[in-house]
Amino acid sequence: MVKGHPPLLLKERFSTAAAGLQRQEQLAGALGPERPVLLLAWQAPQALILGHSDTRLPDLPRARSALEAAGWPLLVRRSGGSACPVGPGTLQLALARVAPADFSMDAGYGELAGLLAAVGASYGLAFEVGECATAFCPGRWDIALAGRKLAGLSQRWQQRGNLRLVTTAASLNVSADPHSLAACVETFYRHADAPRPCSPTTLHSLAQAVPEHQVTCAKFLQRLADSLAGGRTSLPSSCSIADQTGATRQEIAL
Amino acid sequence: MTDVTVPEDLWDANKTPEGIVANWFYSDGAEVPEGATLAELMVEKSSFDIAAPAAGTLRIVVPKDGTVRPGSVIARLESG
Repeated sequence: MVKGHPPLLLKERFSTAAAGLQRQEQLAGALGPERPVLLLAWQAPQALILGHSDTRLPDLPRARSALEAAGWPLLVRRSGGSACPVGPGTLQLALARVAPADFSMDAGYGELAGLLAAVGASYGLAFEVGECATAFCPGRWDIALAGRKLAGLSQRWQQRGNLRLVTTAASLNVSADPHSLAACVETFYRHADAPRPCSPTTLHSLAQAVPEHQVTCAKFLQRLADSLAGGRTSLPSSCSIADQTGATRQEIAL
Repeated sequence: MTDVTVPEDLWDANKTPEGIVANWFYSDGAEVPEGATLAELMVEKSSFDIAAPAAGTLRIVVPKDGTVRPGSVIARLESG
């Protein structure tokens, strides 16, 4: 927990996923003594974001051509994992912070998972944490409902002088169609000559889980802000919000 | 001579025994300045940039794709 330094919740929308990913990967650069925690939430048109290991697949050029023809440009992120589709129904969250000396990878993951769990609880949902091995981009900090993956987390650590900076990122399926996401990932690996099945039954969305709430990314973000304001997370109990582009910052009393 | 090490407390080796050196950003024998990002480790879905603790000549101990654990020496920096 970072005491006495409220995080900024930055809500931003980009015209390309590449711009959003770049913003996320540069987020830690804005950290400093006066702003040791930043929380970025961003959205962008659809793209398939690869992990580093995906760049070594046997037929990446063919996969790139196939996916781009289908409207899924390929990007490569600096954090780990494998291919993860993003788009209008998914929400990208990145929690950047200065890491104290004894801060671990799991501590970083736990913070962001805690934020998501608090919002899930506001919908009456109990998120599960653990690897969804048959979903895309599986990892030990997957977040699931009934064993079906709802969000995946990854992380990047950087050093700036004596400071250790950690950015933990989540890709959350708010309302995207699991069939579309699964088909995108399966198509990519098939064309890359490294087929791996990806069934939509391994995936979930918040909108599917609580249809009565008609969850959208905007509604989710409002609940996230409310959760931070209400102190229902391990992060500080106040924050301010920068709306959409980040150009006009709206300070909200919480 | 200065060791370039993986921080001891970076991850729980009981849960994730090993990571890998995903990239070296300098070649063996290169002169590197203090603070330069030398390498990138990958541990499950986490990446970790390793910075040079001192200036010197880089001597790589663990090559790209080699495995590492918390506390591993991945390189040495020779001074002078």
